[in-house]
Amino acid sequence: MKSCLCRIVATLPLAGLAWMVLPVAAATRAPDPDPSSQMHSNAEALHVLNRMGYGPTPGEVQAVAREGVDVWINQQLDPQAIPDPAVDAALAHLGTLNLPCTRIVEAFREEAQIRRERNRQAGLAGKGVRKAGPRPLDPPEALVADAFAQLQDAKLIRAVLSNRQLNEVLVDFWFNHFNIDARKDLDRATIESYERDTIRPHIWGSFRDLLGATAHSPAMLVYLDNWKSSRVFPLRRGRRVVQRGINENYGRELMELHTVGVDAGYTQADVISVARCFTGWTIDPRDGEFRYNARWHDEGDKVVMGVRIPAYGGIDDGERVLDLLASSPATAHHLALELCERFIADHPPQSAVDRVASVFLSTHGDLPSVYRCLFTSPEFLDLKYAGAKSKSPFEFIASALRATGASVVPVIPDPTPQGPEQRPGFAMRQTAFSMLFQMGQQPYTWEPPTGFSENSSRWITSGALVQRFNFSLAYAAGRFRDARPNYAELLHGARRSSTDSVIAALDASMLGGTLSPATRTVLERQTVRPAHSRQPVPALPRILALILGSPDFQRR
Amino acid sequence: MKSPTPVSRRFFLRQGALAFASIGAGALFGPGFLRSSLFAAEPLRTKGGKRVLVCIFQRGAVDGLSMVVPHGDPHYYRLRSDIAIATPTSGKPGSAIDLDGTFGLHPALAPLRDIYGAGELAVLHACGNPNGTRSHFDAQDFMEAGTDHDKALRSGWLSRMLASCPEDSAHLSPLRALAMTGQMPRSLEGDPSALAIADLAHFQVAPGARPAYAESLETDFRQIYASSQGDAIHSAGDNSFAAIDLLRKVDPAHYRPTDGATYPTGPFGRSLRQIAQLIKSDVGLEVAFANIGGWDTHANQGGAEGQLSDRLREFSQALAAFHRDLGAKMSDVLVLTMSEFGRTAHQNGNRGTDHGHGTAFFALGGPVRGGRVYGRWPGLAPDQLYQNRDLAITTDFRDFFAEAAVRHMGVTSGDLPKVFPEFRTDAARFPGFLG
Repeated sequence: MKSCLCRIVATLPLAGLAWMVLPVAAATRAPDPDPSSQMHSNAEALHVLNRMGYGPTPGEVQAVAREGVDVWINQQLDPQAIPDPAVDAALAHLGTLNLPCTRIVEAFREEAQIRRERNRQAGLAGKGVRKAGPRPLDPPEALVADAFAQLQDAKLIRAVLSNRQLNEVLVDFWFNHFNIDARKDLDRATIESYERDTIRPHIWGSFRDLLGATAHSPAMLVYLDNWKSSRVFPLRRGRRVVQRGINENYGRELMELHTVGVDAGYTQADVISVARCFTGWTIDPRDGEFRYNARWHDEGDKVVMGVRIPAYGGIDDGERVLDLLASSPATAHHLALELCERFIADHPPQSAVDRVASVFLSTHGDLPSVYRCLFTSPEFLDLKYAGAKSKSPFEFIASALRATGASVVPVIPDPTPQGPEQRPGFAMRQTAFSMLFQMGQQPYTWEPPTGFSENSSRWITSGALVQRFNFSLAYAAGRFRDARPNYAELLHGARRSSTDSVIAALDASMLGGTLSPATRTVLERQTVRPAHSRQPVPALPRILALILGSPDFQRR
Repeated sequence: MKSPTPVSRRFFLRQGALAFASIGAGALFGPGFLRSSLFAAEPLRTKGGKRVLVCIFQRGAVDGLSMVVPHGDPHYYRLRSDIAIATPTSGKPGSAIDLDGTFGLHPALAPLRDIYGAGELAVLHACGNPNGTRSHFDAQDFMEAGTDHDKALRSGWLSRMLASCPEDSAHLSPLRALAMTGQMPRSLEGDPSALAIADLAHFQVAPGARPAYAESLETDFRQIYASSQGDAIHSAGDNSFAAIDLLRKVDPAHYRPTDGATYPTGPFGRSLRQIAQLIKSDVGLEVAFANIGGWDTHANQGGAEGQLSDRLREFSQALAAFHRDLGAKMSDVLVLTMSEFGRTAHQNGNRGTDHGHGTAFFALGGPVRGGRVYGRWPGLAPDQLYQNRDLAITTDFRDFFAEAAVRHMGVTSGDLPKVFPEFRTDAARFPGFLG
């Protein structure tokens, strides 16, 4: 794509605050003169910004504390009402982001065709295809690769720049709940549409609709193999006869991961029944769209968790299973637990889980009501849980970029790469985003259907910490192509010659004033003496790196 | 499952990208490495002399019929008119290296000949996953999870094996389980102590920075993490610095292999060189994991020379260097090689091979009862092939893994169901390569 050669810079001049100056309905509170009360409201603001979003931008803790944490929570619960100009501007340059799915599927198929032809030519010429060396991407290959690279860029842009922070966190949560992997066959070409058309439009509606959207999505049908699942019958392929049959993969994960959970008491017979209900839910491989193939559907009688699904239900069998599972109390509990794990603590208090589950049940899975219950619950707001979770690699990088007012520059791949390893979508783009790969959490390519673990202790391992130190050092020194700290904004109003003043400014912006004494002691001795001066000055990139790598900044 | 497209195939053959990733980390800080003598390392918390298991995954599905040639099977030459490896008795250049009159090594595996002769290399042919998937994605996942088809199994077989190994928890090393990869392989998923490090030389604070600068930064981070809070983040910090200290003693950047062992350049050679170094340093390594890619030879895979031959040469040179480098230490070490499936018995229209079924696995090391080809040969006659096209499987890969777990790592037979759930195996089913 020609347009891909451009570099887009979207700086963040207080973008996170821009909407805060809009008149808000709630009464503006006068600044509280009591310092301990001020500290408390700052800590509260930091907590909600860390949990309902990817952490504060410079000045945001104080702004949210001033306006009131409850005001901010209410605004986040209505994302459509929040203007998001920085994201709109940055994404406008990502040309493939709104391409129809069929267009990318088409390119994916053309690419396969070109590869077959290249293999054939190589076979005739007696040369190895792998020896061809660096070559420009074929146009369809480039389109598929660009679409995937831009999906990744957009994820970081949105997490860092969006004013609709809760919306972005929830997209991440639900994508992870209904995980797919871009490396599985056609999902390479449908994953963009999966996030855009399947997840995003449904996370503020009912759970049943979200579940239905994933069940019908080509990406999920391919990822969990349901597109191949059919009633048992012999199929003639030339002279060979292939026995077709059901594939249980989707049926199992639908129950275990997407809805009722592994301990809901279903049996292997239930898994088979569910799989039979979804036989014939497949895709048209030509355009990658959902198709119901009645010839493949098992029209027999089925029983799912004690409920009879009568014979000859056709496509409605699957819909009935989704109704049944979405309305089960086990599903309400399973999802409440997962939400509380993400947003409250790795081992969340039972009271919160029960309350969220009961709202889920009483509202028939109305997600905005569920979110409101969760984010206004006393447990969520209890500062006992502030900092109780460790950041995942993505949360760590996104929060580092936000905390430092970063510019985010999508690094669009060079159309004539050095070799296959530097193809777009691959790790080594020397970007902040690429560090996610080494930290073990590259978005969109996580194979297990479980998604990434919501238990945050999984992410804090010894290998991971060393990666985080080195990310912090490289980032503070401005070594990434896609994002650099904005020191001018970060130190606005601070005396750059004073170590105390610099530390105070960074503490206020990045940690809402919660810097620990142990970290502070080390920061205070970080000075350098410039060549033409006798006076030591704060060693700036280094102080920032030490804060980013500190235990303080690993918590949320 | 259809054969993958180029992009998805490259995704599967992850190793190249991982290698680049590791190079990149160093490049962020410029040239030069931290010297080993900068700090007095803390006393080692480990003990030496442990049994070590090294797993090597040939990602992309290696053609077992070219790697270990069944030259005694008359159908082999019929199926592969352009890419067959000549029989040892043909006297042609590039013919197979005879093992037992029926099988022979690909000529590019010549560096392994003497190890086989010394009885420290065993071949297990016609091995694999009896589940018939031909998807790289699913088959790699199943093999690393240690299951034939159970997608619900979340952890890796090596992590379950380590959990079942007799252990002295007071002496567990921070380097007990190590993958030489950027991302944790599925095989070790679920082991919280496992480390994934593509290049040990980069497992330090500010790799590549000036030593004095890196040293002062490390001191600062150490001090920040030193406060006695005792939570998960601080204990991960403790472990990080313990591992850094261990590796500083090891000093991977300045390693000299012994006895003239020469590892091939490239990430696989580097992985084995660093694993050898850790074993020799007695840092408590018990399980190591490495990848080597480039086996998905759909077009023009070549015969005695060519694409596949180049990959096999790098593979065998690295293994032979590892064997030579470790010398007497090899008595504690078992290397297993594996691949997700084999390739079609017949060559395709592009002088390559497509996704198949059974393939050959190697076991190398002092404990191996080598110099033999294990496994029942199913034959290559049309009616002997799996689905009329592929080498059939006569040994389940889990029997191969289980023998290593029991006879080498000390897992009890009673614990085997934990390592391989819903799979019944016992000594009677073991291939027998460990006696």
